Amino acid sequence: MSIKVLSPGLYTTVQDIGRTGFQKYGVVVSGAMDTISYRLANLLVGNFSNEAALEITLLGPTLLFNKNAVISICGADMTPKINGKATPIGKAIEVKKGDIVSFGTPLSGCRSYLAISGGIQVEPVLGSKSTFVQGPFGGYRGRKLRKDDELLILETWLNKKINWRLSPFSYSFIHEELSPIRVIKGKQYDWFSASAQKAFFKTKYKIQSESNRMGFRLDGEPLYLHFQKELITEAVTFGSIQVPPNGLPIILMADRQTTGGYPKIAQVAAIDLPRLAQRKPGNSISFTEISFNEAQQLYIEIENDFNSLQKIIEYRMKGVIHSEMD
Amino acid sequence: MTLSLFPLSEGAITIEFGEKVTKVVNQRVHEAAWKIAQHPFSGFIESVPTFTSLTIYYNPIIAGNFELVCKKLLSALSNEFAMIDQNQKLHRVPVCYDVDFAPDLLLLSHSLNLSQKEIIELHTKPVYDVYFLGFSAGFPFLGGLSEKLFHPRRPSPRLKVPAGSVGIAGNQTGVYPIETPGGWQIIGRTPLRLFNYESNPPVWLKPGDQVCFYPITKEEFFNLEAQDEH
Repeated sequence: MSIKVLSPGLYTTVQDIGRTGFQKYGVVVSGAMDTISYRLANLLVGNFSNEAALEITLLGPTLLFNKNAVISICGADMTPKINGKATPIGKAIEVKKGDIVSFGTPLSGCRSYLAISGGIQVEPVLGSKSTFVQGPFGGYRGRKLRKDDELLILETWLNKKINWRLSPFSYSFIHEELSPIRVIKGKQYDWFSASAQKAFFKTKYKIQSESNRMGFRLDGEPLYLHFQKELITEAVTFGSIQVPPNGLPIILMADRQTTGGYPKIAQVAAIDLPRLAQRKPGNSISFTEISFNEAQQLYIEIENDFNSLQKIIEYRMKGVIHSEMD
Repeated sequence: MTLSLFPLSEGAITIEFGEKVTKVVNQRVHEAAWKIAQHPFSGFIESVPTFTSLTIYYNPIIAGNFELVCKKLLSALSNEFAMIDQNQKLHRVPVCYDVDFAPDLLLLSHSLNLSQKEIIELHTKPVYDVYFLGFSAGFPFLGGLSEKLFHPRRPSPRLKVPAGSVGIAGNQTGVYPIETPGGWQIIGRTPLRLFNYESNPPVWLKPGDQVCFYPITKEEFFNLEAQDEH
C-alpha cells in the first residue's frame, strides 16, 4: 500500500466535494467543510477540484509515504513537515518514497486539506468518496483514519521544478477570526420574538465542545419564538441555523441530516462558510445580516473568481506532473 | 393553487405547496418533483421532498440567480402533464411483533388501553403513504397511522435502536433503516433492508410509494433475514 498511517491525528477523513443526488433518499451530503481550501489543494497538484483528499482537523496525522507522490496542503497552517523539516502550504511538493509527512499545531484555523496528485484511491459510494461516519460508509471504510491504516495512491512525480505557490491571500480568510459571520434571514426568522432577533445579532456566541461535522452548537443567550409553534419538517442545508426548544442555535454543517423540524432563524452566507468551517470549539462568533440578493451576488462573483484562478493554475500545471498511469 | 418560493440558500429554493400535512398536498410535492426532473434546467442538482414542500438545489453560476431560477421552476410546474405511471409501488413490509423485537409494545398496550393483538391489527390495517425520506438514509415518514395508536415518543431516546425497528412517535409511524439513537416507541422489527448504500437507488421505499405492514413469526423473521442478505 502507498501511505501508512503512523499516527492518525485527531480527526482525519477522506473527503471530496460531497455526495449529491441522493438527498431525497435521506442520504447526507458530507464532503469538505472548508470547500475553498479543499478545492485549492486539489488544483495545486493538477487534480480536478473535487478529487478525494484528506481533511485534517486540529491535530494532523503522521504519514509514511511508500511511493513517490506530489502533494499539497491548503487551509489552516499546521506547520507541516517532511522528515522533520518545515514545508510550505499552498504549493505542490514532491514527496519521495520513504518520506514522513507530519504536522504541528495550527497557527490559526483548524482544518487543513492534504491533496495528492491522482487522488486517494477509495471506492466511491453513491458517486462520492466522502466519508459519512454516521452511515457508516464512504471514504476510507466509513470512518476516520486509525494507526496502521494504509491508503492507496498513484505514483506521481514532478516533471519540472515548481517555483511558484499560492499567495497567502487565497486563504487569508482563515485569519479573519474577529469579523462577524454574515447571515441571511432564515425561513422562520419572523417566528422569533423581537428580543430574540435582536439578541441573535448582538450576542457573542461560543462554539461548544459538542460541535462537530454535523453541526456547531452555540452557547449564549437563548432565542425564543413569539409563541409555541411546531415546524413541519422541511429541507435544511449547509449553514442553516436552527433553534431547538432550548433556544441555543445549531449551525448545520457538512454531515447534517437532510431534513429538520426546528425553526431556522438564519442561513450562513455561502461566502462565509469556509471561514466558519475554520472555527473550532471555544471560539466566539457573532453574526451580522446580509441581504439574500447581496449574498447570492457575492457568491457568484467569488465562484467566478475561483474559476479564473482555477484556469491559471491548470495552465501552470500543464505537463508538470507525471504519473505511473502515463 | 398558490405556491410560495423561498430562497433557503444561494443554491437552494424551497417551494411550499400547502400549510397542512395532507395526502393531497404531499401528492403535489411529488408531482412537482417529477415535472422538474422531466426537463431539468441547466444547473439543477437535485430536489428533496418533505411533507408539504419541495427544495430544489441548484448551481447559481450555471442556472442563474434566484429570480431567474424561480421563473424556470414556475414554467416547469405549469406544465399541464400530470404524473402518469410514476412507478409508485405498494410495498408489503413483513414485521415481527414478538416481544423480543418490540420492547415498547407492552407499555403502549397499557397506555393506549388496547390489547397487543388490537395494536397489531390497527398497525397492519392501513395502506400508508411514504410522504418522504429524511432524518437518516432511507427513513420513511409515513402518513395514515390510526389515531388510536398516536403516542408520544420516549422521554429520552435510546442510544441504539436496532436496524429495521418499527416504531410510533406522536402521530407518525416509521421504520429505522440503520441502527441509530432514537426516541420512538418500538413495536416490532422488519428483517428487510430499507437502505443499502451498495445499490442504486440505495433505498427500497421511495417518496410517494405506499406501504402496508403484515405480521410474521420469529421463525419467518430469521428466514427472511437470511434471504435478504444475498
